[in-house]
Amino acid sequence: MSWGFLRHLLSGVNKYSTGIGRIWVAVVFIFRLLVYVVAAENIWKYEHDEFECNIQQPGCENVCFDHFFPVSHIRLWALQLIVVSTPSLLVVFHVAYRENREKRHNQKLYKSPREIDGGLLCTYLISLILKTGFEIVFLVLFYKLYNGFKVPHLVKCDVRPCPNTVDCYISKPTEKMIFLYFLVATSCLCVVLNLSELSYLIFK
Amino acid sequence: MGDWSFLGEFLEEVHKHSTVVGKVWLTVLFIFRMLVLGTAAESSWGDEQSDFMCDTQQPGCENVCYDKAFPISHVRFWVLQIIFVSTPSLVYMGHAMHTVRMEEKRKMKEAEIEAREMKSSGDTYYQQKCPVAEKAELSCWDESGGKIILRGSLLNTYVYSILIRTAMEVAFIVGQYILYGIFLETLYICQRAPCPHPVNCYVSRPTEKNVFIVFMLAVAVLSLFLSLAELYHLGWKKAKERCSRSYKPSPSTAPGRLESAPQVERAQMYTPPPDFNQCLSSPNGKFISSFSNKTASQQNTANFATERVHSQEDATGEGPFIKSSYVESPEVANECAAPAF
Repeated sequence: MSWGFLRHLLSGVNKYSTGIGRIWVAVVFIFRLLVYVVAAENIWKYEHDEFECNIQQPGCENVCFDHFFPVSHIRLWALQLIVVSTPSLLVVFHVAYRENREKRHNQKLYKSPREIDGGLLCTYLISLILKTGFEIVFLVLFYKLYNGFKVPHLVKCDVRPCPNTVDCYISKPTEKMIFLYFLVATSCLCVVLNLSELSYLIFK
Repeated sequence: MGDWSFLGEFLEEVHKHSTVVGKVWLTVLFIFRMLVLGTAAESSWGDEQSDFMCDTQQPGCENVCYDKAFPISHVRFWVLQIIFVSTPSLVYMGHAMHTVRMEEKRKMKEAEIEAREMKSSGDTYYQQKCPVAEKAELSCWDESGGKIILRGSLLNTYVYSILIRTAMEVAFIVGQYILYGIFLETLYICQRAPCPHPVNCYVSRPTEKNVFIVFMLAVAVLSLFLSLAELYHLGWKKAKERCSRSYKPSPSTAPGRLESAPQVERAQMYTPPPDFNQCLSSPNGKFISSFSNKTASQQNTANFATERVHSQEDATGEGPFIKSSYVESPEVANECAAPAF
């Protein structure tokens, strides 16, 4: 899975960010993207194959897995990374639009390209608010879907065609839980960074 | 294979601003940890659960036994170890970049203010010469953006980063020992519901895994040793500087004495760079006398700023810990030359 595009996008935004924005990019790259690519993907790689139910009834394992994992942790994690990085596109578009206008009119429309001013500041603030919002939405989604970031080693399933309440065993639950907590911690850190950047820009 | 380039790019920058020992540490990190982990260790642990066999037909028993035997897999543990051990260096890098940026901004502002003042003062000769000097001053700083001098608060950040790195290294080594001991056993006896009785479980590729475990442990100990060596190196240099400082009188105490100061000022981050001084101390005596008061007061301001920031350290003639920041322009090659490592 190629994350190069996202990396390119976030690196581009770095030029127009404040110091806290740069820290946010570093946190996203290292503690979220890198951990996802290098560690987390492999943990959840064979989650369906390794999901085992104490029953011979064909189809029971499939429906039980589907019941307990409507969207797998790892897919939700990937979606979160993509959605949370997307508001930075707004900043990139605005800068591109501005440069386009400068080229067309053949003059500098703003004081200096490095300073965040007026319209660009507004766009940047909106992107910050959106980023924070999406983070919180995904954290709440994780919480609701999986009952509070816990991964049990045993779940009881009585979905048809399972003939009775069946014991199903999840693979690597402890490791998954460790990395889920890691995800939550880094998300919260990113929320804190976004909020502090927001307050810094507003009260500057 | 994991893609470590996300971290690699950040660490490349750190590589430029490190001491010699720091560079060795980073090389060890890149080659012996990241590369080995990404290429060899990952494939060795690839089938760790699928080939984890328990002597039972009870469904679910293998899953729970594997989970009990390996709460976190070795490779994931090492990934977290590499990330947490690298993070303090990134914090130092952030501080260094921030310092460079602040310094650039300050110099630009100074240059702007001077240009405005000179324009209003009406000194035509200066107007001819000084923009060149200012440009040279700016370009000297910009060119040197690749190197930073380790002084004052930046040195403190560097030392703290090494200390935290050492602490992380120790924590992870101890953590690995607590979780798994040193070697992996072939047989793991598991007693956990729903296994009906104590069950024999067999780990896949234990010898190969042991080889990698020992290798990674050795590299971690080597990194720890390098970090401690770097701390000792920094501490020793600091003590040596303090001794030589208390022994010799400092040459930098006289304000306005610009010709003798370049070597000293080279070592300070908040004073005018030597290039600018060289412009002043050119053969044209007229040049110096026309605004020597201004530059003297500038020197005073700079000295006060330096004293405020570097509360404990004074400038010395000793070379800085890493390469000096100023790249020479042709006329001032000797003065601006940095002591090379």
